[in-house]
Amino acid sequence: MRFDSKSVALNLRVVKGIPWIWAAVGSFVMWIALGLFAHNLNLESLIATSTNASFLAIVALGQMLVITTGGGAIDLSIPNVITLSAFLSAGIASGSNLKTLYAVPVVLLIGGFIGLINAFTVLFLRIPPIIATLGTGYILTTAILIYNPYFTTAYVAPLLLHIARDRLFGVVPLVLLITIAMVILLSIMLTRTRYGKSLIAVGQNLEAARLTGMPVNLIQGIAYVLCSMLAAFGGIMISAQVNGAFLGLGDPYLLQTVGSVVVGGTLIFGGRAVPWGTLLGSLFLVLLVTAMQVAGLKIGGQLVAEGLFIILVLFLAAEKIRQ
Amino acid sequence: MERESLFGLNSVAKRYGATTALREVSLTVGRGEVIGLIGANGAGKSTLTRVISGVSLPDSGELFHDGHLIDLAAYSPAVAIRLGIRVVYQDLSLCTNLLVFENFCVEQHFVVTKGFGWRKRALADTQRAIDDLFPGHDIDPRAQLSKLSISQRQMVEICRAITMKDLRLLILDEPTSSLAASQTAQLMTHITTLKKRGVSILFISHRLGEIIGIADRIVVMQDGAMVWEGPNVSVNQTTLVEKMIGKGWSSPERFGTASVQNKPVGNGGKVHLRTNQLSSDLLVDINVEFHSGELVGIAGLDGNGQREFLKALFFTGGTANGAVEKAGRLAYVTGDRKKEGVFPMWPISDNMSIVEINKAPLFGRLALGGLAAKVREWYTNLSIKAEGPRTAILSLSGGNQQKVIVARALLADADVIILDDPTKGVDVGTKEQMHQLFKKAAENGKLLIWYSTEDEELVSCSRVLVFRYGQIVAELKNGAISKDTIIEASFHGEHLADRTVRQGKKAKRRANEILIPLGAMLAVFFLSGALQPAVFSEFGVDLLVKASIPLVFAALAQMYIIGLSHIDLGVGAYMGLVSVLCATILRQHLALGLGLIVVTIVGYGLMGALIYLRNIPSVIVTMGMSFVWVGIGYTLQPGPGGQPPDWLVKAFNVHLIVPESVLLILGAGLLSFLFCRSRYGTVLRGFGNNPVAVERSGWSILKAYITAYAIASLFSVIGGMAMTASAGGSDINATASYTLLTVAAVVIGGSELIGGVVSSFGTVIGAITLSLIGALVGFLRLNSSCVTAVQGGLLIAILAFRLLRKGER
Repeated sequence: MRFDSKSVALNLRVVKGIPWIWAAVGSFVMWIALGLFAHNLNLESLIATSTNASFLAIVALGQMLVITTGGGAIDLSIPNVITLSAFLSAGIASGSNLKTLYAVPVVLLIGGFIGLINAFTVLFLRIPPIIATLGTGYILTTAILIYNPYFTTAYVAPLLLHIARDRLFGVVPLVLLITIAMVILLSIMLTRTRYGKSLIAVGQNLEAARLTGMPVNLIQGIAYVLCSMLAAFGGIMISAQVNGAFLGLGDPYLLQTVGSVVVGGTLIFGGRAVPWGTLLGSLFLVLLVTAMQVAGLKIGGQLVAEGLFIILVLFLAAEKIRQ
Repeated sequence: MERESLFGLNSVAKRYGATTALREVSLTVGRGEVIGLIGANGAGKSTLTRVISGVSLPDSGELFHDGHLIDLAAYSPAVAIRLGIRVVYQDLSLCTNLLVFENFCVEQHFVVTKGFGWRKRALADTQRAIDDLFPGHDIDPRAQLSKLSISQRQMVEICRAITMKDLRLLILDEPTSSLAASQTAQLMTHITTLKKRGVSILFISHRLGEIIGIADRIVVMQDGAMVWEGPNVSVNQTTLVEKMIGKGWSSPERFGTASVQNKPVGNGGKVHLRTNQLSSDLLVDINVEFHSGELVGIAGLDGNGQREFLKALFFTGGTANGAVEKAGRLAYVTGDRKKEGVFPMWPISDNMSIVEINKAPLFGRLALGGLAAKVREWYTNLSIKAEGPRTAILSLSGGNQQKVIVARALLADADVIILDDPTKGVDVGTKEQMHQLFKKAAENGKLLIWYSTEDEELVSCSRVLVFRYGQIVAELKNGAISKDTIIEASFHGEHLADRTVRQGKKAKRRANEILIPLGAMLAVFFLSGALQPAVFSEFGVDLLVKASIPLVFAALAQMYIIGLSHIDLGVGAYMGLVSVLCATILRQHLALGLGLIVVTIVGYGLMGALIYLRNIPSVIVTMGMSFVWVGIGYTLQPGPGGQPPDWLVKAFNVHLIVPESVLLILGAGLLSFLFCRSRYGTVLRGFGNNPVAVERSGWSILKAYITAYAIASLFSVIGGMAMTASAGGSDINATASYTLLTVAAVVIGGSELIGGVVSSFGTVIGAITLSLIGALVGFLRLNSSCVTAVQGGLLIAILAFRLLRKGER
């Protein structure tokens, strides 16, 4: 076949049209740079980082759904749901595999219930999402504070530890597999089900969505419920990762979920969700944090860099939104 | 008849894409002349207004002012205002959060705005202006605009335009559409006065009686051209309608117009839709039946309830004996593509199949193959001009975008298709194609309800319902449907006008709004006192109030951000940083410390600029920056520690007759209150409500954002200082909870999260209340962890309560 410039141009346009490309390229470059710097450029380092990124990605996927509902919606209660779920799952299961079998569904249900409250306050009480979820978050904080003194379990059930820390055939981390499965599931949901299409439609143009006759409140409400359930699941996994639960466990996940979502190519104003991008965005952010640690940046410096980075990403992405 | 010319147009032409809005229009407005401008929908009246007021520039032709040629390259709305040209728009350009007289002041050119005591003078001037124009009105110039009825707002809008200094040409676009008869008469009287002063007036109205009564000269437009002009004495309402329609029109006896209610059209089709006394804000008792196989036209002058009718048909739940009874699936096709039509990020295919997708189970897997086949079918059927069904919708022409939206309904095989002006801004070829489509769909047994602002389109309908003032004033059947009959019928029902003008309730003074938070504060205070009598001592009050100082200042900071309809998620973190700066650097190096604080204030201002310039949500920017503030604070001092400078401690512990804390808080509230009432403070609040209108008056949004954010940071700085002084040190992690508390304080104090409604004293009271609740929880011996939950829950409860109260109204 003859080489013609037109098809090259077309290919370039295709590459530019892939929303997660920057997260992928960024992660790759960061991995290489880190590997060269720390002299451990191998697949193992990538797998280890991916495992850490999985915990972030699970909750970031939920944030992605809420952001996709549009109108500047963000779920600020995610950190508190994570912490609460970590406490509850560790507390209820109290180190027993058997109890874990019902602890996990119970915690997920509680997560779903919190999502329902968020959806109710946002969609029926018409309170702006930021305020509603901020408020729920504070109430959850109190719940955690009250629960804290009664929390004695120092162990997480072996089953959960196994899922969060072990690898399939000693190679692929289980939690990474779970995360990838979730990403695939959400991708299918977003592109191949009525719900996914409707969610994207609502985020792009709420008024137009309403005029197609779709139940816009139901569509948005489900996003909040799924988000809180994913945060609850993330909380269970994170508590297994750190083997326990403590106050403020979920706090770093507020900015990082928003960051992963935005870096991954999801639009902050809603209407476009990129699950693979969110996974890659999580990977990138974890690499970034690792890089800062390797570079000897203290906690304070890391926070400053993370904050500025998120604003920078939005600063650069803003041009696209204006179109 | 000879007058000196004030404004002139010479062969002005203007096109919007495929449509010619103005063709070779020449018009001279004489000094002190009143010109009545009339024409059916789309005749070009609005375009003419836009050209004269500098909003749109003509494609060709010349404009004259005072006999001088206007330089079109430099012409703009600002220039037009300088020339004394002022338009009263149909869509009101007032800020609903401001008081009536404040709305006058937001206009840059308002007369008395300089110097001290300007509010008093502005109030008097406003009062005089309204008294002058509408004697016997019941508008309180000190009332908030949102408390006024639509007709009162229209009166304010008119007054504001008329009080403009050096007014020379006043353009009134349907000024009487929501005025009652008596006010209309007052306006007419005033127009005569203005005329005597030499002010020229261009009066646009669909009420022909008014036009004939007031205008010296009447100009009739049709299809973008001036088709007739002449003195008012030479015409009556019937002859004017004739002029609008064109030649050879006679005998309105050809069709019945009287009662159309409940008259079934016996064409054998089954009933698909029926309304029973359908009423709403803009509709009055509509009873009508639609059958399958019908193509029913909806017509009438723009804005007489047609679109509301369509939306009501679509959205009202279809129950038997309800306001709307429905059978079959409905689909809505809008002509307002950008606002409520296209999904901008999707290609043609998704845009086309979305209504069909709505039929599927919510989480079932879609048959994408089948959908794609249907999309291809309709893509070809409608001969959409694009590279293929995967082409981005926004790269299509308006006509092709519209085809996609029409295809949505057809592809989904809807039984009832509601067409809301679907051919707006569409080229002639596409229009013709759509007409064929609609007819064919009706022949195939669909019911189509078709609203069009272009009357001649509706001739292919089996019947046409003509709306006026939210009612059906005529029903035209087969033989009687023509552009002429529709236009003629559009002017029926003039007597219904007053029935639709809803007079507003008496304006309430807003002073009592502070009573609710004040009552709440006192209740919490006395409850605390009942549990712990020491609360009532001077020492007790000082202690409690002192504890609330940081929150009071932080809340005032948040109030300035909320005033812009933004939210600052970083206020707690920022205050923490200031507190750390005070306890560390400021103590050792005064100048350096102050310098750094000033740098952070500049940073806050830059945040405002960034939010505006790059259109990034304020929430994200402030949240991102909150990590930056915490990060810097953490680096300076990782844990609790530090010590306040001695002078700072002294500054917050001055011994006076009244506790200093009380004075400080009242002072802060007063300062903020006075600023909000200042001219620029008023403008800032205007920006939070109706930025477009305020910008139109000549103010810069960028400057406003920077100012508001900088002011907010100033308040936070004082809050942070107070915190260090009272705590004897600082802790960067101690202030995180302040963010929600500030929002709660602002809301409890009576401010609204959106719309620029803020109250300084309310915010102060809200902050004290929240702080007292913290103490109360302690007195009640409750778990101190409950404080946050109580405060967070209170915020949600108050917002929910407000919503309910609004709903009742």
